[in-house]
Amino acid sequence: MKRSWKSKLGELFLWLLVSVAVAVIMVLLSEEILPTNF
Amino acid sequence: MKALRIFGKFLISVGVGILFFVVWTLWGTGYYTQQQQVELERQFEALPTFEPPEEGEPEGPPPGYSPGPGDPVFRLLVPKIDLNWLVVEGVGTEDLKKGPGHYPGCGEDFPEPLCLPWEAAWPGEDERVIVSGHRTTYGRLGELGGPFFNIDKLVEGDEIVARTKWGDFTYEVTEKRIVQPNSLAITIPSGEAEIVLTTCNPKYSAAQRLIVFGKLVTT
Repeated sequence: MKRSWKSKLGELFLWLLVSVAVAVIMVLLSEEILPTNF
Repeated sequence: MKALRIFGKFLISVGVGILFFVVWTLWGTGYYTQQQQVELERQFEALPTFEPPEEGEPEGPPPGYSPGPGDPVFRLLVPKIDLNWLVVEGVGTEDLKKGPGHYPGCGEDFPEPLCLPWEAAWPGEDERVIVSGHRTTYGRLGELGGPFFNIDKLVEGDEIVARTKWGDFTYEVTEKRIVQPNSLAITIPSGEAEIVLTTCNPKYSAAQRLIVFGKLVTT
């Protein structure tokens, strides 16, 4: 069955949210891990 | 098969997330710093100018001068590498996000270990002034690198100017040194009028520290 473009766009948006979440977690972690004058 | 496809898409998303993080680290952090420098500029301009010391009196700020964490303390200029930043008091994480930081003496506002157990020196004084800054992150908006991104390009004789509210002080680079991150030797008083710039080394790494020494030549 062919998926509608709305369904594909929804999935893309979902994976984009995952990417943003990964980036936010890494920013927060970097504040703890990286030295103050990196 | 479907599970594998979903896992594959998940890995791609994580990869894109890491890419976002790198872009933020190298370019995005400058957005905050740029805003803070504009605010520091306003605060610094509003500060009163101190009277120059009388003949025979030591150079430096008036007795009792004790700025708080993150307050602007002087402007640092290095013409050779177009460096022009307002230096803040303190070298804590939040301080260095605003710009280069002047290593403070320990006290209520400046807890150990990011402080000196003795009184911190100021530009013009016959002691070692220490300024620490980011190498890779928290630079100018849209520019690659932190405030001290290019201090490795400095060579003997290059000028470092500290423009304070009690006068302008010109230093000349005398030496560059690469030390281990845990080396505290540069914080020890030298008894000489000098400035020390410290940052991470090499670029994009925190494996070592790059130290640039300058001696006071004119006031």
